[in-house]
Amino acid sequence: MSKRKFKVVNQPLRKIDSLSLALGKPAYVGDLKPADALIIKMLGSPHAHARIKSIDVSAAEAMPGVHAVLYHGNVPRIVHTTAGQGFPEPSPYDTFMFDNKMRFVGDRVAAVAAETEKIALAALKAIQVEYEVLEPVFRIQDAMKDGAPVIHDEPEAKAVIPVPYEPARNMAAKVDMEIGDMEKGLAEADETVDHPFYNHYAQHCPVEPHVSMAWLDREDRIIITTSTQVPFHCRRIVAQTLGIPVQRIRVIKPRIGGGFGAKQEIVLEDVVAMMALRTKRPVYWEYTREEEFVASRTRHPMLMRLRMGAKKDGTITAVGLDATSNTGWNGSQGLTVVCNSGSKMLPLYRCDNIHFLGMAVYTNLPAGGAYRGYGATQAAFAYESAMDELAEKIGMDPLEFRAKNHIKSGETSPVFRALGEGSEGVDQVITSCELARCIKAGAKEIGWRKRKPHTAKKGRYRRGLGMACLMQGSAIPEIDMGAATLKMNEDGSFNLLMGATDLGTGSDTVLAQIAAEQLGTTLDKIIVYSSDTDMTPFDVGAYASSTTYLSGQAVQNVAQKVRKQILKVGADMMDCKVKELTIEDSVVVRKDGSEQVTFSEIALYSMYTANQFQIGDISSKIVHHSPPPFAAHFAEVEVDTLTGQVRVVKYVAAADCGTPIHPKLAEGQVEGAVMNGICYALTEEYLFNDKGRMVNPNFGDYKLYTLSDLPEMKTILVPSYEKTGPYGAKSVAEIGINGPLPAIGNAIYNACGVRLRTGPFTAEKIWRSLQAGGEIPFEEGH
Amino acid sequence: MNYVDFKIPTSLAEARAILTELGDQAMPVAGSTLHVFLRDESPKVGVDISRLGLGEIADAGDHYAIGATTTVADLHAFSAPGWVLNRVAEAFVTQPIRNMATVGGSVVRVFPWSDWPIPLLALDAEFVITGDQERVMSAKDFFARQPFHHLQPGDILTSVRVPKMPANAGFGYFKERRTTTDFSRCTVAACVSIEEGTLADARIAIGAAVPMPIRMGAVEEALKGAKPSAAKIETAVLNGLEGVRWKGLHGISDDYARHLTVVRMVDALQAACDEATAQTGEQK
Repeated sequence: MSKRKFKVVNQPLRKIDSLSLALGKPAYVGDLKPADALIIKMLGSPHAHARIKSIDVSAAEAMPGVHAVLYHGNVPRIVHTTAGQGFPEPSPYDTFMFDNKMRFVGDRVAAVAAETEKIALAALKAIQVEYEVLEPVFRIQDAMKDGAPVIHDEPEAKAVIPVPYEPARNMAAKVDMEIGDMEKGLAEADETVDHPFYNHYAQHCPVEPHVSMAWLDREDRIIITTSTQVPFHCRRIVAQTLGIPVQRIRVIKPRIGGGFGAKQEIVLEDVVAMMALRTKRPVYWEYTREEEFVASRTRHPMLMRLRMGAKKDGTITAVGLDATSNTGWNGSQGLTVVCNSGSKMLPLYRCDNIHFLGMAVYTNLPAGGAYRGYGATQAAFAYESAMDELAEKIGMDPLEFRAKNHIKSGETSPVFRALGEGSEGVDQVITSCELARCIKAGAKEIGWRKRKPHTAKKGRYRRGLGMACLMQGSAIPEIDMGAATLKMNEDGSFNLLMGATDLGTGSDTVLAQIAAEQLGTTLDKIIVYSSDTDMTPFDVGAYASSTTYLSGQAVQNVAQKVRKQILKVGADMMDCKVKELTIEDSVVVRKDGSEQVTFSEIALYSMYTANQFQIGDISSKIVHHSPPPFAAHFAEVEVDTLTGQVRVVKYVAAADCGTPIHPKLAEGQVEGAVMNGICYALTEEYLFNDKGRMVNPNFGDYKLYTLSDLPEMKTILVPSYEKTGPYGAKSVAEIGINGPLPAIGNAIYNACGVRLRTGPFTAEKIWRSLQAGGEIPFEEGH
Repeated sequence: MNYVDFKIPTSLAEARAILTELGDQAMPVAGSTLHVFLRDESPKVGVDISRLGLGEIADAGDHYAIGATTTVADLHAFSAPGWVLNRVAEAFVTQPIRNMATVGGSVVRVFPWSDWPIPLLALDAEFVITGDQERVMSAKDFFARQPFHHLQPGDILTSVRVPKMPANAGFGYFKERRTTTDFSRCTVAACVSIEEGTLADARIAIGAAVPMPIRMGAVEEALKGAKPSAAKIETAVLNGLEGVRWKGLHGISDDYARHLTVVRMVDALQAACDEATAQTGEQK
């Protein structure tokens, strides 16, 4: 495949669902709720760690309008993971639909399905529960101590792939990797740094919270309509959790109001399915915002230690990253997230001596899960902060230090092979990397040349510049699979049926562009349907920055097959050879221009006239590479040194995502991720009381930027051509969130000499650091 | 809120009659933005007071009379000599909320983070309550406790009188928040007037970092008659904090709440002094 002029791909065409969404047409789960649906409400545990001594649901069951009450005493006890991942899952099996042990404030005690929400809420109040309150543990360091309360003491808890798992020590996952000799590398360095970092809790905050509904069809199959990123994993895990065959379940994903990883989990679907079975009625469950914060999933907080050494000439001699995540009450995605902290950042800079130790630790707090960035966000903070500190120590401009060391096209890293997702990774050579151009373009846009050290700055308000380099991946090689079905209709339009899951990213449009480009038709001729486990082929779902790269290849392949069929029919109709034909704008034409037939004529011919068959095909794709997108981020901040308030003056994100299939959507992904990251850096914060209860689970107290807070932002798409990707594309959705925390942190340091190692960068922390002369004692946060 | 009925009176007399009859069961409603924060689940009858002709700002000579159901958007859009509340409105959440929230609703129930009591205290506003007889309360008295406790069944806050800023006066206002939609963590309003190079009057109020909004009397006294220098302002603020109980909101410590407020008091006073100086054409 080579670079060429595209007609549909690489064009900012109208998003195919934009008009219907703008018109407010029914699209989301909440829009589709049957009028007679029962409403589900969940009683949450008031204790962070407790055992249910007794529970009496009889009064609730007896209430008029209540149709079912579920609790640990009347549902199957089947251990599973809620993580929507490839099978067998790398996450431990440590979860039950309901359990008699409570592991966080908000844990499932009992669910009620009732005629109205009011009745359901009243029924919850009628449930009598007696708890034996157990000692909770909230901090990583406390959970790892000998004698710490054991959160998963149930005998069923287990790992289902051969990885370290020690629930008796609250250890949900562990990975240890060394390349070369890190200690030797540190000894060879002229300068070293060795610092702790802490990444804090954060929630995805999709506009649409988790929402699911279910009913039984006339064959008593359970039809689940749910806001999910992983419909096929959902079907498999719900079947497992209920102990019923997969074939009894159909999962439909309508439009999704945002996911960002939160909906890569089976959070509601097991209960709605069980309620539908019990009540024989349609049932509907929508999380409140408080439940979304507490009982959904979060970014894994991580405690890190970053050691690095470099020679005066800028050669990095050693990197050591210890990353321990707080995986909360269950181990969902615990292993893979922490693995990604190593695998998605450590290959970024050349180094012969690398050590990575990753662990995931249970606590009695909300569970971590998949969240945009997926471990790379956490590692980027530590690594890119340390890069700045080391650059300063060896007397080199941090930009120059990065430019000297970053991986380039044609190079590889031993980390690719050494560290996969819970197992060994896959060797790969970088085949596209325009990071150098990203650095150059971003530096010019932010005005890097005017940067001065913080010691040269005076006055109350001080400005600073900071930057960070980033990489991510594109799908999980040798694991993730996507598939697509394409069939032609008699008017020359096509049905594109995909398991790939558009969660608001615009992937339906992007994948339709790829199909249209390959077929030689226009975007409006592609009718996209995604996703429905009865109707569309398997796809792992929308995660790991995989959809454009992985599902895009499946779509491109199937479109290529269908294109061949079209040409074959065209050749039959025009009585010529296929090689004499080409396709231009939905018309098969003889290259000499003497004859042509339209797509519609071809479809009608194949359906009704001769050699009748359905033009169409299916294609599956598994990828062997995970080409990283790269990015250079730059932040300019202003710090009020009297109050510690920090303001982002300007943010520049230069990204290499290969060919942007839809440049506007790609730009939107970068901008959205950067805004997401700026909030994470500055305002987002889980506040817990001493009993483990989150005290700010609402948008009034947990703050996100709105458009009115937007700083000046500049996104620069620096194109490369990834030869393994569809039309040269790589991923773009996740990488952007990894930059703001380190870039802003470095900019704050450059402004006023304050080095922050714990997020978020609140005004109070900066003020206290200023009072302390630049740094406050490190403390594990939440 | 648990509304069981809704009444829409079209005159003040009718509204008062309904409120009197319903007593505690009545909940006066105008912009309704306040109700998000109320946790009262007892049955209430909503009484819409937005159609009583109380939504105008009138020039009343030495002051502006703001009808209680005037929206914050209208305060924002209003422009006239001696009028500064548009600056407060500018920092009040976002336009959709400014379109709904009313000045009356913003002051009858005071939350720790409430914006409006602070500038109204600093500006020496007065509050007109229409009951069997009309009565006028000073801002200090009005905010001395939760204002809705001043209202008996049938009473309606009908107007807020805001003195016009004289030509030799300046106003400073700061509201600390993480985002535009955030609750305030510290709100400070200062109003000063300068005569012959000295501070003839200085009023300063603070909120959000304290349980209820308050005037900082000791600071004011220390500044009156003084030259408006940065050093004098800082000294007056630092020496005038005795007895203040600090309360950090939304994850900030009490200690930091105090520090932030002190900085912003100095900032607000300085901004007010700068403005007053510029107004009078005098040099500091």
